Amino acid sequence: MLDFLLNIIKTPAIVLALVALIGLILQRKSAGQVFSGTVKTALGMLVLSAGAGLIVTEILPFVDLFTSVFNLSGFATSSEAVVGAMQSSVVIIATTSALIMGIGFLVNILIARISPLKYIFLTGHMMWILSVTIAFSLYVSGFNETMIIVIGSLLQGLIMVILPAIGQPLVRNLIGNNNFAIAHLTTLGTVPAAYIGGLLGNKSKSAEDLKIPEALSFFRDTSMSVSIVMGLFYILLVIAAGPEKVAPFAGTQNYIVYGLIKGLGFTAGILILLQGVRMFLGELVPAFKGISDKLVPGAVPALDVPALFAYAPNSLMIGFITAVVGMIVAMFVSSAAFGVVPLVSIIGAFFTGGVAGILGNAKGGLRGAVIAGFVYGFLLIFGSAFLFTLFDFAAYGAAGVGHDCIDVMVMLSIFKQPIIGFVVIAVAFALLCWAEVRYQKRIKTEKDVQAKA
Amino acid sequence: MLKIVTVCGLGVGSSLILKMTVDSAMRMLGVKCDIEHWDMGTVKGMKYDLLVTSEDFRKHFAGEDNVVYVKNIVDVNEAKERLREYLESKNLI
Repeated sequence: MLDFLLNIIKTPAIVLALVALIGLILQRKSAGQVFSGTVKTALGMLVLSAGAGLIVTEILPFVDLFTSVFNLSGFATSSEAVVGAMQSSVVIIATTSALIMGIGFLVNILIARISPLKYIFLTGHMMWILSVTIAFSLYVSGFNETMIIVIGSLLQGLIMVILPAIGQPLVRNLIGNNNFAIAHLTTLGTVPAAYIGGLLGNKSKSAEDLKIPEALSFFRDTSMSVSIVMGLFYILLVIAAGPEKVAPFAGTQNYIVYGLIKGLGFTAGILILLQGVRMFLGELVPAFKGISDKLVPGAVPALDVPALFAYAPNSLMIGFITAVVGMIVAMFVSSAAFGVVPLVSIIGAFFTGGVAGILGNAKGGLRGAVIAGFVYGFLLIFGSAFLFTLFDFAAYGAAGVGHDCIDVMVMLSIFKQPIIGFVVIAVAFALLCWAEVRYQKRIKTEKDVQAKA
Repeated sequence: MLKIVTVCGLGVGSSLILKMTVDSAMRMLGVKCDIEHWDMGTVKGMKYDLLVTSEDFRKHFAGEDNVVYVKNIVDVNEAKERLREYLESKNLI
């Protein structure tokens, strides 16, 4: 019996399903909804693992060929793929991260309730990536399971208010109010990039006055953009390798056809993984929001990055293009600096390079957008290469893939020495609380002045 | 029952938040519905009665008449108004 119970809490799909079950019951859903929501959460976790497995299978020939042709380590960049693969390979990371995500919600709600930072982090796939990152980080630092869960949940909740708070001055400036914030693990890339764009840019000429061909917006369709980019990289590699080197992998298949199919296979893995994420978050996030709506008056919802897209569609495209350029430059620089070549993250370039462009334009006009996108893209790939030299992800099941979320890179780097990590997080939280209190005072004074006038 | 899909680029972040907003709005309007969240690519091959997405997708779904656009994906009142207009135009409420 005890063995059976232990097995339950050591099975990630079941742990997450239990978290969803509690959330659904707290929302007083009907028995049917509770049942289907719980089953779907568990299924989602299994679908996600299958996708992560496929991604690794499809990318490994690329990694081997890349090493034999260029004598460098090449890998695809997708944080979803890294954490998905870790979760399906390392049981402790999987179970502790599921609990970190569940308890982390409650910590986020508690902090939003009692501190000046009122953000409720609603981007589900980013919560998930963060929870696995934290679990991995504490696990490799040698903490035991209980400590991973306790410290991890606290960190998860803190980071879920810290990140939206860091981006908020720029977001308020852009949207003209404090109605929502941004919840994404790329904040430490887009925000500094935007400030650099502001420093070097010229606000008088906005990117929004330009005419930009709309054809590029199809890159927002993940299945297309990932197919194109990974297909292209794979085909270029098999051509560079030549038929003899590819033959051991491809068997009787033509080597170029092999490259094309592998590139598309990688995309198929990403799509399956996203379907899993969609299923397992579909119940958890609404449960979280339902609870926070009741418990945190004046909460500021922190949303996924596309919430900003409508505010500056041109800057989005400019940020996307220059982020891709920055990424390509960083591929060469990283190969020289570390002997490591992370491939362009096209999802990262469109969604978050776009955000760098939007925020860069708000700070420094067209030139600001161009520079912010480039800086962001460069940092993403260069950071991913640097991280690859610090950690051996392959040893934890994530072979051939690296991170593309800058906040994850920063977090893993500072938590290499956990003490430094804890101090940085505590100081950041205190500073941001102070800044928020000052902002609220200023707003109040302005309102009072207006009321008098 | 009305089948609604909410849509964003990746189909995991914004569309899920929008799903919660649409869910609240539809409950206020008293119309029963089943809502799923999807990405812009997959949804092309699907059957649904109504698609709800954000303004920035207007060009992507141009020419389709069963689409409702919202500016702010967390604004329940805006979603309710847009949905009411749509449902009234189709004589569904």
